[in-house]
Amino acid sequence: MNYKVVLNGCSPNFSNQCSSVSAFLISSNILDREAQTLIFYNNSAAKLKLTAETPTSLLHLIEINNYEAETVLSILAELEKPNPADLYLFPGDYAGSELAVRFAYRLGGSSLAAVESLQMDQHQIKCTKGVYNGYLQGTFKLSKKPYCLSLARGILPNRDSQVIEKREAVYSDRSEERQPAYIVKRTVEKAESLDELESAKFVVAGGRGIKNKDNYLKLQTSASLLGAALGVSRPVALNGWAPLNKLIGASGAIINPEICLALAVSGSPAFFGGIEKSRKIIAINTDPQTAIVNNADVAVIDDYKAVLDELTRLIGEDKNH
Amino acid sequence: MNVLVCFKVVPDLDQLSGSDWVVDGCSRVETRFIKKMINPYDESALELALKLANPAKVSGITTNLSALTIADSGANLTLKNLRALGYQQAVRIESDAELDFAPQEIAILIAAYIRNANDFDLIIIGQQSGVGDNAKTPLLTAELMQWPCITQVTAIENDPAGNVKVTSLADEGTVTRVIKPPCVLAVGNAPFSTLRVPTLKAIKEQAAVPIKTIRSTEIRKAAPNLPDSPDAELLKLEVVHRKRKSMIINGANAPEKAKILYHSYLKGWLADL
Amino acid sequence: MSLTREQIISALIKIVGTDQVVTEEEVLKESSVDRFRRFEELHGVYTQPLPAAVVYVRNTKDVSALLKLANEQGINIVPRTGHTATEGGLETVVKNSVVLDGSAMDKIIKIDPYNMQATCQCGTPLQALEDRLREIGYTTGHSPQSKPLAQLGGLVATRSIGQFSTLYGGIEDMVVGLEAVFPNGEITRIKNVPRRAAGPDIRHVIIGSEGALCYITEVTVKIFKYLPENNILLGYTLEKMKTGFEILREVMAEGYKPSVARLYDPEDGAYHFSHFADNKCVLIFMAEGPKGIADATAQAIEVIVAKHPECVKVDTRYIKSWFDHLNWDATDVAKERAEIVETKNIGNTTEISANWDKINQIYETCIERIRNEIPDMTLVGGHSSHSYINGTNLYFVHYYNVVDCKPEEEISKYHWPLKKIIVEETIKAGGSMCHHHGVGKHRTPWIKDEYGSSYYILETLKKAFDPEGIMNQGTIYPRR
Repeated sequence: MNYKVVLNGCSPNFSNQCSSVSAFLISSNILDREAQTLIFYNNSAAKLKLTAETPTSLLHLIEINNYEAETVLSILAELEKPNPADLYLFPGDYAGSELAVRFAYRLGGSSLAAVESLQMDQHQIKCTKGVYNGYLQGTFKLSKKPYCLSLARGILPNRDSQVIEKREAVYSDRSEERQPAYIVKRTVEKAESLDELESAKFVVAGGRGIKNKDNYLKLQTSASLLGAALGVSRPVALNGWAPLNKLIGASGAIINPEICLALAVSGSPAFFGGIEKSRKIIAINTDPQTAIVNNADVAVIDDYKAVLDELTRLIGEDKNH
Repeated sequence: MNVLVCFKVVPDLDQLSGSDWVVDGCSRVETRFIKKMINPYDESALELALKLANPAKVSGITTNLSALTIADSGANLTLKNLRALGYQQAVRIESDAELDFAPQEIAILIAAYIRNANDFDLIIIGQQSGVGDNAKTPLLTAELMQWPCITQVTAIENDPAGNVKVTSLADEGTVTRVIKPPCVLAVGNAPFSTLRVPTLKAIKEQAAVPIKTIRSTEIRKAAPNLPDSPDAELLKLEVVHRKRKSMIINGANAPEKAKILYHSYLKGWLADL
Repeated sequence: MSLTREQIISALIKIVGTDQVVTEEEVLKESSVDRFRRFEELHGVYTQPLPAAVVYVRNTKDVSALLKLANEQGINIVPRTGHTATEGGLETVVKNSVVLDGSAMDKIIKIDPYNMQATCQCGTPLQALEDRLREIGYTTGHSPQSKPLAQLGGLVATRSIGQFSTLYGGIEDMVVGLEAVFPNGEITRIKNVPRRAAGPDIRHVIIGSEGALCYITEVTVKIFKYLPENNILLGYTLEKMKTGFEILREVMAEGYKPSVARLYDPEDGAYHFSHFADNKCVLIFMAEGPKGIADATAQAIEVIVAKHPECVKVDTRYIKSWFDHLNWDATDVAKERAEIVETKNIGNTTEISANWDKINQIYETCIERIRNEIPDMTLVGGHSSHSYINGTNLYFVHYYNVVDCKPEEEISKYHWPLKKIIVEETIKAGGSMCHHHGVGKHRTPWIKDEYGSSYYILETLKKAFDPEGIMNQGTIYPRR
């Protein structure tokens, strides 16, 4: 069974795409350095950089004007339709999750989103992924080739990945391709990405129990005093207390810090999935029955503010000595 | 402008306690007995559409809202409430099939409905919903309709000349597009999108209007050229076991507990960073 | 001469030290209101005079010294523990009030399984006591919806009641003895005995006094064997509330004591039960206690219900799922707050009680009047959740969209007119306007109607125990 990898070189998270796909290939035991990676990019000055970390050695770089799903899809379908691979892998970011499903449809194949693991033999592939809001894991069989998978987010880089000595790249230029007709105007506001959270060693995560925006702002101060990055659960972001790029969980950042201090979060699987790769989890919550307390390494049952104030004081004291 | 919002009423899975999570092979978890809610992404979709429609009235653009769900009669209550909130049409497609893990079948039914109606400009759907967590329905709907699609939508506004301004999250940041419909919008984490509540007066006014119900077989017959696309088949369900066992810190008050937490645990962990 | 704010603060600090006296503006704002004014609060509007300080008392001596100071200097005191009050009892209506917060007095002093009683300081969260008791096989039997947040002092001060009251009674049936401090600094202890006939039962001067007579510092309650394995849940749907009231009456009159006996109308029930009740009323019972009693109670209830063919039994698993999510914790509160801000939809409750022959009439009249008279209603319904041999309670639930008015007008436009309808109709029918949330500050206009000629007794209590009127002015007793 042969496969291809499709990456988005226009995205600031390109390096994460490479490392998570590599790790997935290794853990699925299907690492084939001779497989091809297709990369869509729009900054030719940076294209050499794009070739440095790819999961496979054969590369096809396709220059486009900017990343629009409709454009990328039609180019990809056009390129691949004559001679499709058996399996296509897409990273689990926004672009990859969309592309996998739509591309599969266009090639008459089958797709699965947010795949955690893959088993395959000559005839079929089986994948697992989270279902029931992450409470359960489901195993799925895909029925038609090409199989198009987007990966679950938060697949951690694999330390054993071998170094690729030499990469061979071919280039296509599709930058003349016009913007899709349905778009009248398009503007992008570059946001601080989730990377800061995803690369932090120490993260403070605030949940709905922080109650309001003022408390979020205070939490920001406390987190910086502790030297931690700050993230929040979905309700906190959707209530407008915190910006969306602070969101941790199934639909936000998947973090893997050494320490995660979870304050006033209930710990539903959708959120917990975002922090469960933390090495140590500390929960502070007034409710001992809440899921986060059972899923933490250490828990304090109390008002988070009072505990946090004392923690910042203690850490501050130690810093001054 | 004619807007169709597709939504699903789902079990509130957080209401299930640990012992309720019993699975056997690929048999489903029993969720019949727990409270239902509108899938949160769909709830955002429904509210974003209302926000789009309401100022439009002021500006003279008429927006006609329709809500569609594929469900049993249990969804009628929600459909009636949506009518009371200003959805002119509330439609339910009845299907006997098990649809939790069949996003392609759902998308086919939605597409069939759109083709039949033949006058929708925007389709708004939550990007994913619990139980299946398939995250495919809006994408497949767009493909079946051969319409463009924007994912991770957070806001939708009217724009002059019948255009629509759509804000969405992308990997490189926030993208704002002014688009010419038709288009499928998949709603992601949209702030300030809790669904408003209808008044009793509005509900009463709509009480007599029956909910339009269509059999899935009828609607498929009406749009025969849609493909059958079996996709992924569920083989097995397993409970995810989380391994950490929490140490609860006991102390007289918050500062004392904080001290224990710091000296016995956090201080050492911070030193290792 | 009344003291200035600064003088009050320094006098407080002199007694308890700086650490216990909080004067941060945000804390003062939050402490000027309770859940009654949460719409204003959520919009950052504070209409009440801010207290001079919130004092976190550590022991009974602190309370005694502080009350003495307040009594001498005419400082209004608002006693508080868990801050879950709903009727304005914690609002600081007097300028430069001092909130005496007992939540730091949170020790469980003694659990005495042999004498079946437990003693706690006023700030002990009920949940903490209940968790400790359950670990050793006992329960307080007290389970108000606010259990995760409420603390014992406040629960006693407001005459609270729990979801299992039909078996265990209200807090007044549980308290065996107390310690309370009166405005002159007098510390009084009522001993913990099974019963007494040595004059009137003075526990009832303290229970339900809502901080308007004294400060409760310690509480001793009965404990019971915790036998959840014997619990039997029963649930039915039915057409009419009237039938439901009849069934509740028969169960009580025949002498059965289920712990839960609840009847929901379709509107109130919709939130919990719409996935099976299909716009019908829902009747729920739980039989508990020793197995023989629980079994017999459940059987008898089934026989009584069977006489009413409109009742359809529902799968117990529906009821179990509801039962597992009865209470209202910090997460629910936070969720509610955010939703109110976004949707401008807010809900409140008003609870009353009446005899069997009046309850259905009160229910029907109030619902009808609210539907017709109050604008922008999104839900009006109710349930009966506590039944007695001679009658039952009604818990009205009313939600509305706040439309075309400022946050500070929400109460006068909606909440107050709603309350007025329910209270007046209840009193007119001979019921009681407060079943278990207390009078607070917003039902005082009707307190004399509630009491009639017996108001003399109530009034005299205030004159006797709080002659200077420093205790939670405007609560129970109309503000002078």
